[in-house]
Amino acid sequence: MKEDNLKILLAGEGGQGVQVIAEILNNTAYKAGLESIYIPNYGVEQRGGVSLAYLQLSKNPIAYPKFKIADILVVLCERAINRVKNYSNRKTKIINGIGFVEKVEEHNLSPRTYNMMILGLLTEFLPLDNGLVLKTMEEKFKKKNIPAELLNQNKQAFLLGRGLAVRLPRYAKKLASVPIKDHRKWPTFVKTSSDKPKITIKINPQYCKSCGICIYKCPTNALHFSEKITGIYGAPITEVDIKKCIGCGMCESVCPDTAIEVEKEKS
Amino acid sequence: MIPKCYKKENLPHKFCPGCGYGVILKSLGSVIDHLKIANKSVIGLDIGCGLLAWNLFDVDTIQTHHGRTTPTMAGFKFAKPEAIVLAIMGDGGGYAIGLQSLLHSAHRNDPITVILVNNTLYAMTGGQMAPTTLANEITDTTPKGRDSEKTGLPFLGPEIIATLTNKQAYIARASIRSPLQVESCIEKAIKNQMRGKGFSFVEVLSICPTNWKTNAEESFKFLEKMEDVFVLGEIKKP
Repeated sequence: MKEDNLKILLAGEGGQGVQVIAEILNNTAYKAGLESIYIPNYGVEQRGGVSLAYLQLSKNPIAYPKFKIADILVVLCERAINRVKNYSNRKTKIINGIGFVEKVEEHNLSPRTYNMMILGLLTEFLPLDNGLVLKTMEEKFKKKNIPAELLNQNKQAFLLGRGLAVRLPRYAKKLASVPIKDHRKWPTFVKTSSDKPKITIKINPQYCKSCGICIYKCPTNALHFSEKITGIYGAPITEVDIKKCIGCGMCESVCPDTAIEVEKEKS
Repeated sequence: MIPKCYKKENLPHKFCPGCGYGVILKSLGSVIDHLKIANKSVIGLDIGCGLLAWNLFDVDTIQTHHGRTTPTMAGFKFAKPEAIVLAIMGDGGGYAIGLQSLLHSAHRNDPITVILVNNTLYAMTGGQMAPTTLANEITDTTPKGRDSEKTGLPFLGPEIIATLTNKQAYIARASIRSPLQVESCIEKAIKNQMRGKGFSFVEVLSICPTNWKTNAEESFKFLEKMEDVFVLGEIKKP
């Protein structure tokens, strides 16, 4: 370490795994005999805010857990850029994770392993032993009882991240041009019944927060949670079984987020 | 259907998943659309979860101090009688810190509309006991359930306000279990203000899945339990 205190700030969407990255690095640094401190910044994640993790590694005791300028800034989502841009100056090394979102899918890994890929990438810039980080990660996940398959995928994602770090300069140009907007695509799911009277149901996944009120209120059990498609907070959206639907409009009137629209043709 | 007076660029709104405010504001939005009063209404917001509605409508809003929404909006009405003023508050703001303002406004019979959302606790600060907490209900500050011998029974706002007001007042209680009832109560309350005569007050029973720690089904079962204590209906109408 050149400086006696290395300051790292991680920022991402709530639930993206920012705090897990910081926790693993913090525990690893402790095992390696360094002084380390980590403090999460919990804002209004539940309502869609940005999640921050302040991490410091040092050879000397650390006085205060927060800081104003980071040495390494890791950004995992577009919205976080605005939140953390004041924490950087010219010397700050910025790792823009947004451009790597597709990398996980390209290698047939679960989207949940995205944060471990970033961990692998970040470890390359830290005075920490890769093996030790991997070991700490394994211990942490075994405590959480996650399935062996997912643990294996997480390990692969970690190694993938390390590989990307070596080739980072090649990506640098591409990453600088990432536009600041929501990269997720939001198609509207429209279903129309074939029988008369014609019923059309539109579900907007960008509004659906997966509260489940429509499913509880549906009189014919025509609604259920989707197995694949997720909404704004990464939770499953509602899907409709149009054959069971009678077009009563109950789901539309009870939806707090205006995510469902029902149209019934008058016969 | 998304009300026309919603600002679509600010959707999805910032309320928790399953929050009852979504249904109430949607009902309010469709009333504003139906009466075509978007350009002359002003919404006053209290401190509490309700303040997250500040950018939801394409309507002017005022953020007031905790519990001071009623007098601020009454003052606005005196200064600009042609405006339609709506005060939105929670049960903590209305029945605890802002009770005196609410009672005096009702006593003076100010021609304003107050929409009070009752979810039996202080939701924004993490679920502490409020005046409306049911007997034996578990909250953060009553881990063994509210002891009604020590801390009293739930506060019945509309019934108390009904005794203070004159014949021109409109006072009702609705529940988000039937969004149409919420809509009709709010519409009547706003029409009462537009006639320019009396105080109009609507208490809406709402759900808070985050602080109740319930899923959709359990939330609505608890709401049914609330409806046994807080009786629904129009308590006073002109």
